[in-house]
Amino acid sequence: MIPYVGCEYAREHLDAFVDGELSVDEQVAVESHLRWCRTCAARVEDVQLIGDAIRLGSLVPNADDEEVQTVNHLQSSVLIRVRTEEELSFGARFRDMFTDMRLLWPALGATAAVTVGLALALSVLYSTTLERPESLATMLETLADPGGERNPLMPGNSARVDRLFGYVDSDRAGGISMPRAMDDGTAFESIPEQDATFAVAAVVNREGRIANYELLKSERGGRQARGLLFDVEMLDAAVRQSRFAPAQTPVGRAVAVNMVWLIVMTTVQTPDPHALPLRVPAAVAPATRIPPAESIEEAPLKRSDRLETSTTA
Amino acid sequence: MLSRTVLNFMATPISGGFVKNAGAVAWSEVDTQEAALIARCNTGDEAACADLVSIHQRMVYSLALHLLGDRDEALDLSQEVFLRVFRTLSSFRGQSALRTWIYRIVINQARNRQRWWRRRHRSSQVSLDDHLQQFGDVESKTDVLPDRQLASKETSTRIWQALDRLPFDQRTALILREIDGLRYDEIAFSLGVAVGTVKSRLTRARQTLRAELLGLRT
Repeated sequence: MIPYVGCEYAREHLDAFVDGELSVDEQVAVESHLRWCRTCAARVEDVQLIGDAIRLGSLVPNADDEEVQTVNHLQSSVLIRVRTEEELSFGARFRDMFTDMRLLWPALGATAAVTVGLALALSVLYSTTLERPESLATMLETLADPGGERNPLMPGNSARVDRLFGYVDSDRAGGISMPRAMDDGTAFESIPEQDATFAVAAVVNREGRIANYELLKSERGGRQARGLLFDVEMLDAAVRQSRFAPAQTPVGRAVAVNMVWLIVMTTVQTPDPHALPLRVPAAVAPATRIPPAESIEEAPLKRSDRLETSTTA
Repeated sequence: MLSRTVLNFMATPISGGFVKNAGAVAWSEVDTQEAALIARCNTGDEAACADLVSIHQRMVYSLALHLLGDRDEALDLSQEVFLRVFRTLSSFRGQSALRTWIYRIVINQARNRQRWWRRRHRSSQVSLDDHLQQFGDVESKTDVLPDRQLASKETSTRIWQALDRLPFDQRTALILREIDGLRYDEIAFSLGVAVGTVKSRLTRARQTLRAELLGLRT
């Protein structure tokens, strides 16, 4: 039995009907509809006419046309291009490199020689770029930077001319100020309250910190105590905690300066009223010039809680 | 034989009757032959590559010509297509017939090229009249039914003018169907869309052309 289909169904399937893309059942149903529906049949004819018109106007040349001969040459031109691409490809050229093995060992030797030479050149370049501390370049750089950490100045000195290079620092016109302690000596509270004398050489850098210091002399209770581990640790801690306003030139430029401090801790006892008057000798700063310091500065760094009076050297 | 099958396809005069028989090609036999040809091409066999080009060159050129409308451009595009085919042939996994796969490449290349080319070279495109003057009367190479031939010449010109104004995807779908005789699923693969999309594009394209046809009658 042939199913009845209306125009709506048929129109949806007319294109597929013309193109032969319907199933057998659909094809039969649409065909039966077209037998009695003139409108849909006319549509089918139009679709077929459109197809005929398209095929009629297609630009496919005849077999004996010149155009066909041109198209047939497509094969040779394509193959030439494919061959050229293949020859120019990296893989092909890489394979060609190993077709003649006589050149392999010379090539490897040359590559090795170039590699070694390159490594040597780079190592020389690297070594020359490293600045050694004893080199002339470092010395020149240090001298060119007066007031730097490696070339500290002397506070309050009047030297303005570098004897070696005739260098004149205009900043030194009025002398260099002393670095000023930012605390009130609390950094030294950890020092045992015993009579002691310490001589310390140090550099106060531009940031107001102690950069290099050296314990020159240490006495406790009047006996030589230099090198005592406790004193070294104690001073090390005190030095690390110390903060200074950096030394400055008269125009306000911060500079590093060499300093030598003599730290004297002295206990003064209340004199016995029945005893004979005692003359307390003044603490004498061992102001000897000790290399590498160029001046001896006296720091007000004495505190003693046991006595009201303290002597600062 | 693969070569004979496809060459016969290309040499056969284009007609409505042939189009309906296009799906009757014995694909299983072709697949076997194609697989062997592709394997030879992938090993760098130059003779196999030459065979592949000679089998498909007219088909590729024809589609390129219909999509672009310029012979030199179509020839150049055909070369690009075959270069692309040989570059990517190793990735072909038989997901379709080789012919359909090549169609897809042609369409993609033509889509990229015609966007700017058609705007700049429209004046140098081949008109149907010029084509007929150069290659003779259409009646000599078609087997359209006599009662349709009377109106065909003018109708064909107007239909092609309207076809030229269609969007690329609709025009391509209609050309693949009417000239190359591809089935809906083959058109869908060539365009990279679903079969339903192909149906709708064909319907819309034919509606537009039918409107042109009705205008021609009035």
